[in-house]
Amino acid sequence: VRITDGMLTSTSLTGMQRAQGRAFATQEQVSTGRRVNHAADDPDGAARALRLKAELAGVQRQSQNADAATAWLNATESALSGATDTLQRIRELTVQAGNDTLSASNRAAIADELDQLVGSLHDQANSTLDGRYLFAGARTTTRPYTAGSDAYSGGRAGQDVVALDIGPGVSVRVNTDGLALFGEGTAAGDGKLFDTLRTLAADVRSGNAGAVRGTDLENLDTGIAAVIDARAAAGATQNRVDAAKSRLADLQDTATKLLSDTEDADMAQAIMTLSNQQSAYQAALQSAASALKQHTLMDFLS
Amino acid sequence: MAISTFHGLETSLRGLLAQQRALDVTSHNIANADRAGYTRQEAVMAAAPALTVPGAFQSGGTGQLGQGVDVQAYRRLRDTFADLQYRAANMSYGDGATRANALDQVDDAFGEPSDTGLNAALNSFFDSWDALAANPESSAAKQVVVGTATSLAEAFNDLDSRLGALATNAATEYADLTGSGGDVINAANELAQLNVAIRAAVQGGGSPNDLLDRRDELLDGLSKLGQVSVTNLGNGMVSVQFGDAANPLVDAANAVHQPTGMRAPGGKLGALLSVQSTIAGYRTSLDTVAAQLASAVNAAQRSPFFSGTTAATLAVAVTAAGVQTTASGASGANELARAVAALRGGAAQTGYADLVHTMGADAATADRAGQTGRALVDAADGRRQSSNGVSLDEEMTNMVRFQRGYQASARAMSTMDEMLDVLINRTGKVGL
Repeated sequence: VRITDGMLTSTSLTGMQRAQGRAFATQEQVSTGRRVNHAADDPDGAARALRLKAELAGVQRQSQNADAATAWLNATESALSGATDTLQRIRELTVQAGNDTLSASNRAAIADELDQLVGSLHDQANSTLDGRYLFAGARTTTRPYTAGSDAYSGGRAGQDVVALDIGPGVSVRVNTDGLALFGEGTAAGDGKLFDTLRTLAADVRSGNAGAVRGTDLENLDTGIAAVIDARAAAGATQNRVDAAKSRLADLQDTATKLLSDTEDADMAQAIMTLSNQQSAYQAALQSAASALKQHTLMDFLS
Repeated sequence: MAISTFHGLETSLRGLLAQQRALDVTSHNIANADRAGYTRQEAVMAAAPALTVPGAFQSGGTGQLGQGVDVQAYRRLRDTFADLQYRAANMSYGDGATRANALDQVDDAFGEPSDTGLNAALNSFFDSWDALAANPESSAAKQVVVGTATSLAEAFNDLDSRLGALATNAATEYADLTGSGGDVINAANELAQLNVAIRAAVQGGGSPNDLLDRRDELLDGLSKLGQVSVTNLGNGMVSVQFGDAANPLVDAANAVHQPTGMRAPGGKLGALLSVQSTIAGYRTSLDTVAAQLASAVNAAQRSPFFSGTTAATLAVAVTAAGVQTTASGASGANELARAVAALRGGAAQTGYADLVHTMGADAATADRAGQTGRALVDAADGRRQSSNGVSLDEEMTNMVRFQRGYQASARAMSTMDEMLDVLINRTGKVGL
């Protein structure tokens, strides 16, 4: 091949530009820490990264939802636990009041304490989490029981469910139906807690000890069992949420790892490659420098 | 027949003149050594026509007496096949490089994968719905939904308008290059002028090497813009067909026609046309994604949340008060918010990921084509420079050769002179 001076310069220039271009691409990987900086770097990887990021964002949100569900269930549990304590005290008083030998003043004292306890059960039925009523169905901003009244103003059928998504396509109901548990008092005669307790207080006051130790006590036990069932249900839901949360954590780990594998640069390798490419670039520079200033015949002709 | 006594002087003179011309050509080569598009030249020397000398020898035979050397032509050492190869490679390079550059800008416009692109906006949008589903009573959460939705709509609008601008840029560049006053027509006009000058020089028996170089340079430039086919008309002129234009750029009558109606001119212009339809395809896909998102969200909301069905027109149709969390009217119910949140990773998002995949694959292909084109052009250029280019070492060698030739001719002349001195000044002076 006949070599001309123009070839020397253009070959040197091309060599330098290529070496620099390669080093630049690797430099970008090293400085961003990512292998895929543009969709064109790896179209498959870029599309996978987008899908994984969507999945990851969803998983993170659902994980937060699971935390929110846990908060609901914990608050429900502690409210119902308070209600159980109250009901236990009421049961003790009921057993005491079932005795035929109590004087009228004793009965009145017990009935007064019962009224107080029903009041605190009222408060427990009005428990809130972050300003949201736990037992008002989905009408979480409406106080379900106003003071001194057993009338229920929370959400009824169709407005009774508060649910959260705790996984892809998995939702869980976090609220406990207050209406089903506490009921609407004697006016409705629904046999729920408030109805039972108001009847009980009236029977104690009127000295109907037979009813107190008979149907009233039975109804009270049914009510207590209902509260315990509700606690058990909340606990079971909590278990579901915990399982979902650990599944979400696994998913998050997997997605994060996949995403990292997809778009992150292998730093050790990238830095090694970069250093090789920089050496290649320097070699190109040196060879260009020596090619460009190499001697010609001119230097030796006198 | 007698030979002139001064014949040798004339022969030496021819030698002197020929070596001098050859040195002139060497100087020209050296002076243009670093100019792109220059073709090295040489003075073609040939023996001057010999004198036929009847009875030159005692045997009575006819002799041929040489008369020295003449420069017959100044020749351009150009390999025209290498030109064809170079122009074919240059056309693919123009196509690949332009396409790679345009799609690189498209890639930048998408800006994926990143924490700021449309995909991130989609994620924030769905995050805000999830947050609203967890706090359906919160008007602040609704405000956030409207905020992220507006950002998302703006991200669609912005990406679409950027893509539109890139397509417009390509169209403008195409129009600039092919329009009146553009590179193509300017080159065509200069080609026509060169045609006339070259024809005149060729008819006068000359070899207009530097004009030919200039013409080849113009054709090289055109070959990057589009397909160039050159027909030699035999009188020094060429006609040029450019791209798939209806009329030749420079026709046989040396008239210039502005190229019109080209569909696939090849080269840079071809890429500028094809890139427009590629970008239009992306915009259609983006419109589909926007329409899918809008209709899915509107259906989940059971009321128009987004207005517009294209990426350019997508907008949020509601204020925070219009964001629906439930159809039941209960403040803590969230089924409509959850319905929107459940669209995460759905058709719109996969459609967008597919679009990014297609775009990235196109950009990567174009980039590889550009790099391959570059390598092919470099190789073709190297081959051409190998035959056309000036080698300074070679020129130095020639310079020494011609200098020595000149010196030798001069020595021959002075030898002749001494001989004549003997003949003229010393002959017939016996005894003086």
